[in-house]
Amino acid sequence: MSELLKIEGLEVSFDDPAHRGEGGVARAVRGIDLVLGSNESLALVGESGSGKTAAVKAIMRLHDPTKTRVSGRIALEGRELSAMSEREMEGIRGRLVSMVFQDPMTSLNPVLRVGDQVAEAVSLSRGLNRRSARAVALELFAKAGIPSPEALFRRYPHEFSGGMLQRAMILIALAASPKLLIADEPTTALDVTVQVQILELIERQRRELGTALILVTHDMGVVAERTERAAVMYAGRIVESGRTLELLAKPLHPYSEGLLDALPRPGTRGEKLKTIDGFAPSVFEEAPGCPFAPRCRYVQRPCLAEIPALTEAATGRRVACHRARELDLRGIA
Amino acid sequence: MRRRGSMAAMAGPATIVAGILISAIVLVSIFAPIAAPYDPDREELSSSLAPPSSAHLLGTDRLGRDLASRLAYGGRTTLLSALLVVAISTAVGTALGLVAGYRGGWVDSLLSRAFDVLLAFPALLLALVVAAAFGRGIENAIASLSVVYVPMITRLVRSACLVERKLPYVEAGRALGYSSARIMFRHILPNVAPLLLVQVAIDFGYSILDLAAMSFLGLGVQPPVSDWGAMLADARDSLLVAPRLALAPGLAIMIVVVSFNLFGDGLKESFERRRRR
Repeated sequence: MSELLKIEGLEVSFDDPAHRGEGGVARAVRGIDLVLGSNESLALVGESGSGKTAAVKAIMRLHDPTKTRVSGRIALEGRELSAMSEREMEGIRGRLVSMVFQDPMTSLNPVLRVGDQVAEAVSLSRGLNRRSARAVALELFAKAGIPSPEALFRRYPHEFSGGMLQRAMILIALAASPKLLIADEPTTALDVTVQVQILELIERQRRELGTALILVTHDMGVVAERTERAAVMYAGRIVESGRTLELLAKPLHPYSEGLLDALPRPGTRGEKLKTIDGFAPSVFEEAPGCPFAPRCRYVQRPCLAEIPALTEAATGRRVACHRARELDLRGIA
Repeated sequence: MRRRGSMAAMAGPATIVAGILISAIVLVSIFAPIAAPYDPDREELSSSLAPPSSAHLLGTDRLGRDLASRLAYGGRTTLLSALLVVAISTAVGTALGLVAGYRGGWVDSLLSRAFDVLLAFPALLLALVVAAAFGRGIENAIASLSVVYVPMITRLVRSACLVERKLPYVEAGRALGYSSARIMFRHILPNVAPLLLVQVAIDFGYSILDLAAMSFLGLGVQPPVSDWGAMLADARDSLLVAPRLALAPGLAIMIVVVSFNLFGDGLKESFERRRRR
């Protein structure tokens, strides 16, 4: 498997004049390293505010440069993205890396027909004229399992259901057969019943096109388990990564354990859902010790002194926890 | 579900009346050669200042020219000039507004400050200064009014664009590698269009008024061409003898301007009602 994406020491911070008292800089991503092979799928898991979206938007260079500082290296197929001009980036976006957003209801243009928006992406990426782009788009509609494609093709976004729109959005994002698809919580805004269908559509399309996937999610269960590898983010850092099934079965970081423990599962009817006590640390400050220490049930003195580095714990498993070796944490079967 | 014709149903009776009046006047102007009973420039001194009769529906002016025919042809000039003013200022203003709103930064600051200065002057005064500098004539009147109408359109489009560019569909477009120009003109513009349309309707009315004022002052159309403003100016000489010569173009101007205003307001209201649903 060749290396498609390599991220080293990525940091993203936003200027936030409203919080001048706390330094005025929100440090959303605090140094992450990540490698993704072509065709590989990776789940980026974490709670709201953990920096997942800020990190993936940095890959596409979608941050507003006047309010955001991005540092570190992001190389796509060996080419450093930060060195590229905005025009070169326009050629990368959509063609090499593409993105599906959380809320399909607002990510499509409300006043243009859905079919035309799919056709637009097709025509741009394949250099087709309007008529043949429409024909291709219509085929894609049918292939994506959109019922009565001809009728829906001429409809506007508000006439679609969320699930159908997300299908269209996936078609648009994959129109140019990109090497990497970033799906930012693609099922969060949708009914649970269509969640699986959307994930399956992404999986099917991606296999067909040979596209790698970064799936951003806060769902450790249904969503994450469909990927090959997973990385858990907490307070702007990756705290654990490894093969998804291994990570789910036996987490090495107490935070991962907490996330897994918080999942509702059959046979626990009547019991209160578990939560992780406390709050994520402020994005404006940096405490000296492990960011998770204040909420960790296994916390000990060294945890408060030094930030643990992400180190290899077993083959293909990395974890950032001082006590990873001694702890025996519980996962889900 | 989209309902066709809901626009007309939602518009008030005033809007519908205004729409009918506008259409009637536009039709008469377009078909002036057919609608007008006489050549508007044919002088017939023997029937100078003739009162309304079956031969001359609105009577004749001092040179014996048929007033009804002159009104129809004058409307042609007036409406066409106003159309040009609105078309030019809207095209330029929209482009600048989109760029300022979407790009932001120094481009926005520069345009906004420059237009703040322009907006500080009364529109007509500014147009008069421009026309005085470049000479009289309808082309210069149109050009100067076009310039004067740009800032308002730019401001409107810019503020709407500022709202739009924060919406997820714009970011999604960027994530697909769409160029700024494509996002601005193909994606943001249609979303701004309803607002723009309202402003265009209202501007149309005002530009007729301003053009008439310029022609009245002799800075607009030059003889033998005439428009409603020039007709008003001509009528001054015989105001006491034949007030209808001034009343006819004056009323025409008033009706068109009020109609466009009502129509613009009606459009705005129905767009807002639609948005709220």
